[in-house]
Amino acid sequence: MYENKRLGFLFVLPFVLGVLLFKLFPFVMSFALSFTQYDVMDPPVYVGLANYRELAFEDPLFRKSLGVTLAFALLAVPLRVGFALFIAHVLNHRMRGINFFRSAFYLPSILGGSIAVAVLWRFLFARNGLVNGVLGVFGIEPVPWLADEHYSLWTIVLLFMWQFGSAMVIFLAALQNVPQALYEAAEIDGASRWQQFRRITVPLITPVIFFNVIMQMVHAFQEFNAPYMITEGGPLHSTYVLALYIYDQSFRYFNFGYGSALSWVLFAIVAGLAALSFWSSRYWVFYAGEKETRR
Amino acid sequence: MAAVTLSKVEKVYPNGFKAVHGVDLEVRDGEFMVLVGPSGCAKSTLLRMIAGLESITAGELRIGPRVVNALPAKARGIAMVFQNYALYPHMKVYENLAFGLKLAGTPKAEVERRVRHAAQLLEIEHLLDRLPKQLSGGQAQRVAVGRAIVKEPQVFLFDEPLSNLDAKLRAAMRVRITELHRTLRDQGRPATTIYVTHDQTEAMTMGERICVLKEGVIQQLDTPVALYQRPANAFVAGFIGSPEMNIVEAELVPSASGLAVRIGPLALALPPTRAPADRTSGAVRFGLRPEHIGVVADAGQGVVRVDAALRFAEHMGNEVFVHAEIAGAQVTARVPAGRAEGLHAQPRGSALALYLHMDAAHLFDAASGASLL
Amino acid sequence: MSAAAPASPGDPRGAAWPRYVVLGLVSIVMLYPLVWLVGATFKNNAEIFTQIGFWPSRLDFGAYARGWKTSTEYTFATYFLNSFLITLPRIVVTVVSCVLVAYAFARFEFWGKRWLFAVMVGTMMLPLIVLRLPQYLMFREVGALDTYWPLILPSAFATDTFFVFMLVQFLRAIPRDMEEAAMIDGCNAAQMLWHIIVPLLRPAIVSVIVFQFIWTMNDFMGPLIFLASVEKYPVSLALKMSIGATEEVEWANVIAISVVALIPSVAVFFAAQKHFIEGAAAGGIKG
Repeated sequence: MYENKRLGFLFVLPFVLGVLLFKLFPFVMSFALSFTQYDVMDPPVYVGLANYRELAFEDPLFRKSLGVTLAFALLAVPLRVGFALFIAHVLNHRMRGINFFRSAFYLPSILGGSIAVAVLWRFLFARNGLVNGVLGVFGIEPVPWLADEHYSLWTIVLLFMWQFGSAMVIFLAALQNVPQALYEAAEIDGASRWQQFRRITVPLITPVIFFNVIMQMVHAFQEFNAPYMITEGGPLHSTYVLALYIYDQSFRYFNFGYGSALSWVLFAIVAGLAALSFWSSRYWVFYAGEKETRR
Repeated sequence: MAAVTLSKVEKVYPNGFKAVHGVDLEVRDGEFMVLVGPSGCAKSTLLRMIAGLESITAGELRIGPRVVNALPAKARGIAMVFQNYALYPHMKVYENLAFGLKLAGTPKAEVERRVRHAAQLLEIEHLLDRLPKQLSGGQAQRVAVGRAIVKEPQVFLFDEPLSNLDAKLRAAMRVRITELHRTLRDQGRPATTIYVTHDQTEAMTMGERICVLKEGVIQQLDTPVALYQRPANAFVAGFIGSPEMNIVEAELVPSASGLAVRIGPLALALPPTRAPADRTSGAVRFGLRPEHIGVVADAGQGVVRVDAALRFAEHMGNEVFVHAEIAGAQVTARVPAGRAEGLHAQPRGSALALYLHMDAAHLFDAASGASLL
Repeated sequence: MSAAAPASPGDPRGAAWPRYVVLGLVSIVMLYPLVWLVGATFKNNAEIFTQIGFWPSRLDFGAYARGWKTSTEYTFATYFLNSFLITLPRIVVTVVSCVLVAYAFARFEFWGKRWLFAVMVGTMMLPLIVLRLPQYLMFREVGALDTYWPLILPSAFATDTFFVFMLVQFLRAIPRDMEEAAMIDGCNAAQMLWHIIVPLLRPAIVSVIVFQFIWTMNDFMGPLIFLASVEKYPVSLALKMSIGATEEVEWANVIAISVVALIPSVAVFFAAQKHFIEGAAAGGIKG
């Protein structure tokens, strides 16, 4: 039955149609639109590379937005992945209550993307909100989280970090799969705990680290809800990530052509970083159980 | 019930690997045929081709009078018992047994009758309400057999069904399956059975005929006794029988009384009944089963005494496996415990007299391994 | 998942108590805001901004009532209904289409299978905003804007590739024995799917339902782009409305309704916890 190619294709047909209709076609359309000026009222006007030229040379807001997006990704991804690994390591111990902690940390990661939490976050970081209140207990002056351009990005970063649970759960499963016997052998060989972590644990979970880094990177570049709701891109565009800029250009100002060009720049960055990660993975990702083949 | 015939059947995988080379095999109606061989010999592949789970690249497969190459599994009239039981985990035992029948639209009364009958035959009536995960290995295997029985197929196919059971359970299930086959035949409902295993003990005890396979080629197809006493080549000789037949590189040389087998400096006189038909000299492989090597002088034709060195002795309770060295070749002898007293006390390397029953000697071609007798 | 984990997983060496301390502290920092915010719904604005303790001085459910009514002509009953009108159909079509497609990838051979699988993995990395723009124009052409179609229809074509991927991984780990037995028993493809595959996939399907429920209930960008009429707004958009309008916000009301908005997700999460987290770990799913 499973060699019946026609049957197989029939089952996968919804996906083929879906990919064509809702992914590939929009993708191509987006590319085409990026070479036009289009405001939905009138038909699109071909303008060649004008949009790209504009965003490259004449648009300081684009550069600011790009900078913010990169800064955000560079801060948030390592922090989230690193913290997830740390907590997973702490949790990887034969002790009671693992399930409780796992759920407790996982819950924020599934709620975190919601508008409700964004609202709550905005409130927490208000000038006289909870965070400043707690800081006050330690004698620290209230921080103008949402009003000052130097601190605003941190609120988004912290929200991103707060959702470390999903990455942590994956790390925990990977850590639990490292055979205890390896640590015991290393102990007999005289390795310290730290050495065991560095030389046994980390190399064996590099595929999972790689996976998490890529997935979190993609999420970081797509971040929209939080900056939209909490800081509205401000103050002074200090949290104006590219996703927001694209949204504004497309759906507020109806510059679909320019918005498409911006989308493509975002896509190119994400694809480029993903490709870079895949390329670099041959050097540091180690798949146990796979035979070494000539590269 | 039906006979199963394979004519020049071949299997070539998409990557070019030829797993089955031109197999001709006939399983008689109601016969219990065992396919046996080491890993990779394609016995499971053949079984799956008969079942319809693998495609047949070339050749013809008949079940009964029909050519079934193009028929899907469900239309071939076969039932299969899997190594891992393959019970449906979310269905109770009763449902597992009834599933195929229900799919075929069998009336409820008939389904009930067949399920109860099979359950009774296999003594699993008390398990009908349980889920597979609540069954022991042996019980699960019986349910798998039951599922095959209720279909009342033309051919039963078994794919290493006992491999996952522990040794004791395996022995008990072996007897049960064989008894079942004989019982069904006595009741006038003979069940053509093709049984795949890598275990030569199962093959020897269960099969009415055995087909020995190696790398997709049939080595010999015969009754258990014939395979044991008249192996067609060195591979079959070594595969069937435990402990393995002793096979040693030697040379056929003329001697005073006819022919002798020379191993190192030793010349073992060969009785005329064991002389090869087509040659009187040259390199050969000399085979002798462990039970044909003794430690006590036996009267009899063709018994040759040799000097050997003891390596060690394994005590099995009722018999002893004596591992020794004769002129540089390592052999195993199988002797009753009574005759081997004191052997374990002797140090390694001590001299030992062995008595080879040359009237049971086997000779194989040094290159092809074919029997020369 | 790969090879069997030990009976009681985790490193048995070393003392447990320092770990409890670390985990405890982190839990408090992580969860206290949520706890505090629930308490805040019972306080008035003044109290909210002066106290960091979460226990309110009195239990006043007024915030919930006022927040529920909102300042628009609709109450949150309408908005919740809308959320469910989007979420429930979407879940149904997602499960159906993703199971079919995952079954194809995991078991069948067909033309372009490898290429298609690569496309599937590739599109998982596509930033959503890149597709929304053209999709907006597409749906506009067919007049489907301001309806729920743009939010439900794509999922009917297995475009939620995370779920397809997760189901494929799950199915790949299941040996084919039972399906072979079923083939011999006489199953065709549809019967195989219904009687054998779907029951075997049950834990993974539960994960799909739970994740899709939570993500769709929380989806903001989609409704923001495709919906225009307030009466069609789901809870996520309605929440935004409630703080967008004025500067002076009655925070307790807003927080109250945010808390209520989270209740379905939290409830579903706790109800299906076991399946949920293990499925996420196995499939490597986003939060």
